[in-house]
Amino acid sequence: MFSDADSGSLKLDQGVHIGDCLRLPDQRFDLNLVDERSRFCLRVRETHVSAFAKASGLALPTQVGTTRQDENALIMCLSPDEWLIIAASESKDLIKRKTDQFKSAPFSLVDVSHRNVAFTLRGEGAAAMVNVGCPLDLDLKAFPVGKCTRTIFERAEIILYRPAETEFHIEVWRSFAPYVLSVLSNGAQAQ
Amino acid sequence: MSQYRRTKKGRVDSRQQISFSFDGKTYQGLKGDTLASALLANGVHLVGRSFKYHRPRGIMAAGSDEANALVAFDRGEARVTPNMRATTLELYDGFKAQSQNNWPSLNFDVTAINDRLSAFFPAGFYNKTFMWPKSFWDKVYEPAIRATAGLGPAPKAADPDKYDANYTHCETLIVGAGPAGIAAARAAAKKGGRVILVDEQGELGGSLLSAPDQKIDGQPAWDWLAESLAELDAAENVTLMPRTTAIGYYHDNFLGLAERLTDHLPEDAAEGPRERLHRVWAQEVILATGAIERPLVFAGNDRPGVMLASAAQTFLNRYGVAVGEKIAVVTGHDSAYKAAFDLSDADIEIAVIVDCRAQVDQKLIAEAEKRGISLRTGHTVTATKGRHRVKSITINKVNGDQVDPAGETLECDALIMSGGWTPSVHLWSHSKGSLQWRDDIAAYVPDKPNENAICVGACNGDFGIGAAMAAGAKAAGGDHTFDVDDTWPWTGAGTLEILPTHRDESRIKAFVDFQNDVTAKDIRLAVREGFKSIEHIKRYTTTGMATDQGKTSNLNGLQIAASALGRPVPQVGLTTFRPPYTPTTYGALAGNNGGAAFDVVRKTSIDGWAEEHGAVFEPVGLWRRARYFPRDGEDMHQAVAREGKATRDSLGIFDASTLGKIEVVGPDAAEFLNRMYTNPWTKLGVGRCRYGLMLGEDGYIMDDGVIGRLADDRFHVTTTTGGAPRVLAHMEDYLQTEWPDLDVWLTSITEQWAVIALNGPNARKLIEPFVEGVDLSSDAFPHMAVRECKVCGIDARLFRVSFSGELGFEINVPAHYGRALWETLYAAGQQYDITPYGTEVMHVLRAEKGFIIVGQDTDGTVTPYDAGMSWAIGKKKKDFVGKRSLARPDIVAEGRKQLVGLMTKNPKTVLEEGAQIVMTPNQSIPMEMVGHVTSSYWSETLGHSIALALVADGHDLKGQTIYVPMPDEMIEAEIVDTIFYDKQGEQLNVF
Repeated sequence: MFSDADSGSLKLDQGVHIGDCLRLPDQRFDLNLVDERSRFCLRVRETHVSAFAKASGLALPTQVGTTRQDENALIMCLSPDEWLIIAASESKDLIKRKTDQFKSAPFSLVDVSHRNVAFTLRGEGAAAMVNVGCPLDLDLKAFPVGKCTRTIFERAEIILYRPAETEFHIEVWRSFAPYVLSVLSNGAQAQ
Repeated sequence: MSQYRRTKKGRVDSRQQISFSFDGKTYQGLKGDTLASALLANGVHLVGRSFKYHRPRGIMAAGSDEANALVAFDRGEARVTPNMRATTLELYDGFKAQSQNNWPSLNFDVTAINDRLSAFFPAGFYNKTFMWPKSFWDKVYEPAIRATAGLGPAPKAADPDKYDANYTHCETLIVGAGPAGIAAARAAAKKGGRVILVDEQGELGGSLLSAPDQKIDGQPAWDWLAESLAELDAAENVTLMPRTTAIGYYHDNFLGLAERLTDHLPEDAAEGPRERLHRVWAQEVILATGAIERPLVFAGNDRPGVMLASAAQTFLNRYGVAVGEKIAVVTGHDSAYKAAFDLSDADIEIAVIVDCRAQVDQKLIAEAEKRGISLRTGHTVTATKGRHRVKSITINKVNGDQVDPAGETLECDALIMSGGWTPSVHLWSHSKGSLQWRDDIAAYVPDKPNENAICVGACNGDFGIGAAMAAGAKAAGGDHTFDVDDTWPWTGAGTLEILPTHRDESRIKAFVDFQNDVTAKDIRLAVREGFKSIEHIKRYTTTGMATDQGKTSNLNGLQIAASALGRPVPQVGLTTFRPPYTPTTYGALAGNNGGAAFDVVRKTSIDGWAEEHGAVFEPVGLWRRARYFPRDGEDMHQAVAREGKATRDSLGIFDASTLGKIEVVGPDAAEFLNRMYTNPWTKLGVGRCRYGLMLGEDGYIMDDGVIGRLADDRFHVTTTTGGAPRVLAHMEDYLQTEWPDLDVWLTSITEQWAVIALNGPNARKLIEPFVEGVDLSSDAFPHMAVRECKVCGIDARLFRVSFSGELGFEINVPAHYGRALWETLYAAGQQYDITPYGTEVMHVLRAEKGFIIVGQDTDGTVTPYDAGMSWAIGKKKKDFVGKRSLARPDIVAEGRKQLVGLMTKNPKTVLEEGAQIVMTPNQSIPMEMVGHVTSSYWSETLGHSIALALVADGHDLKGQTIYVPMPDEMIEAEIVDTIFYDKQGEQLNVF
């Protein structure tokens, strides 16, 4: 049998490498790859949301496009019955245990930790970089701090979240990430 | 300074001399010049040859409506941009351009013989003469026409420039920075919200730049302009974008703005991207796009030196250039008088003003008299002379319908003309705003909007500057009115079509579309030949189809067609304007999608390893997959033979990560799958798998895959690689619209799991040491079983499945661990000669087992019965998607194509996929085709080629010989069972 001692030998690789083209001098933003995270897709019927939140202790935002961050996780409400939960990589079991506390109605919790990779864009020029490929209006009135949404970045689907005025968090399916990065890189060089 | 430069006039800087070259010759220009104004300042009028007849052509306009002066803009070998309008190219030191469409030179062009031979190139000539003989089209006519007709050649080297694109939002977008646009921008700036003001020119100001003597609110126009632009520039909510063309106006107030950033700069100053495409959503759009002056249609109206009156006025007032020393004027509109008077006031001799109207405004007559200009009303121009530049014109008196044949020849070195003004409704039309015809100005003007848009000023048919500015301000919520002297007469001849002439109209060339060389007689010929709609006339004659989209020609062409048809213009219609407004570079449209960003190429976590190990890839949907791994100069055939044999003999490893995966969760999961798939799911035990077949409502096979039950309420569904998004959407569609009552949810997990397939007799031996907590023996973990476990200490889903017919496992691990696990297994597998294989071997091995590939062996018209897969249908099931269709009369009828195996008589012959099948070889053509080959391979295992085919009633034809006709032979093959290898499935259970 395979021993525990060896289990650490499998190297984790998110498959994304931020090249030099995104480390330009006098660039008005920083782009970073987010480390491995636990991610879950949670589906609960609207009628059970408050009971679920109460039983699990997970603070589900209930308005589509809003987020809630607490000590356990960042939770994005993506549709009336769909949430993306993002937590520390070691919190996978914790989230599972919490959701298991809800027993009064069916729901679906699916591990999608490695389905996505995530980037953060920080700085004065961050919004302009997002607008290289994302058609949304990122004016603070239209896209306030805390907002999240499923949208597109050129031809890739992304989830865009604004944790701060000059910071964006982009979630993208793993195999689309190099493409998003290529567009960002071309855009950065053209600024 | 040349005799044509008027240093006291214009906005050019006479202290800043600029050296530039045209056709290899060096000239001097001034900062602020365009190529056109600088050439004219040097007395150069001949700048190009026409498209079809290679006639000498000059500069006819001063802006983006130029149809003649197309040049190749040369910024180095890979940066040559052909077909640029000389009137829009801004000069810089070291600027270079060449004329095009001539050989050996601009002055002497051999192909100008076309002009003499023009009788052989009538309208639609390529639809007529050159269609015969047919075989000549590809080889002779088309290449010959391409070589001589034309436009400049595109550079062959890759474009070294960078381009950028972004998305922008604003509350008010104003297109056109003339007086109306600027008035609108000032009002919008005060109102608040984000304002964008764009103009295609390098300098903002529009018509004001050519009207220095205009006064606005008591200020000279240029002072007012400078003050207004400074105010807008200082406003935080306003973005000014010169050199930016609004190329298209799309749904929901979405516009494309192409901004040219470096073309006006010397190469050493040109940093950053060449162009930037702004994709803008605007809450409201104010179109202040102005109007374009129309040429007059008469014999020889295309000679160099013949140009629009407003162009001559602009060259003088904005660029300080006299387009001639003795200029004749021909007009049907008052506006040309103002141009003539401006020229006269700058001490340029006006040879004559010829007005085709009998009556003109007294004020104009008085002003002409005051300047001593000879004014000939009720006259026409019937000819022009001059080889490379107009030298004289012939004018004739018009008496009612008759033209006096006794003409008078007048010398001149330029002829300026005006046939009235055409409001620029291009963008309005892109947005699907409707138009109405106005007889008084003989033009279409905006009627009802389709978007939140408004046209102000000349593009709305309002030509007075004061009125245009008030309309602009009002459109942006302001109420300022402007004190502007607007008392100049501004009327025209109305519907003009062609200037009257006594000459035989079938023998003269009076140009309508200068860029495509379409004459009035071409349009009349089209009407005579039976064309009635302007859309057909346009395509037959090509009028309005050049890169200028008929900016100067559409309305003249339309009026000539209407008159030939004897119908009012609105009944003949108007051709459609389509984006882009002016020619736009591919680079601008590509934006940031160059290089690796050209398109999405999805790669698995193991792709990098495959690349390092020399894999040859193939695209499968958006994914790229390793097709085979050639070693030591192997070709595909050799590599595939080796990989397949190694897998059957010992152990193959395959990256199956791209398979679509959907996690189906909820107490109603099994019921949901019962409805979506033909197979029964209720009784499938936890930890077991089943092959699932999915039909569309039409009963045809849509997708398939193995589905594992992880828990009572949790299934791991796999789909085909290409079908994954389609299947999920299909499922969601039913779940949300038909069965919202089911407690089940679908989550795509395709990208969550990397999948490594291990096939071959040694597969179990390889993985056993790495798997924790699962007894891998066949009794405990039989074929078609699944377990959640740990592999190499990582959470995994282990399937025992086989698409090869060998003992097979598929290990799913979270994607970021895919490559590490692959490398671990590959290293450990060396003792079994582990062989990585690609999709080609996967295909061969499955074909040997008769497993179908949806989309290859099925084509959207194959039922489970046709595919020989009735076994996959749950007979006791009440319903599933597609069930009712399976009872349709045409589906149960005889004669349907059914899937069979084929073995060629000659074992070495590999059939061609897609080849047609006939029952007897000696039929006359066309033979009766009974089916086609769907999959065909060389099977190294069997030492024989194998194929799958769809053949009419094929299931009943086992053992029969069929024939596959190929160009050089008739291939004989026998219909056999679809399973070629290990019919009993013994290989699945080797120990």
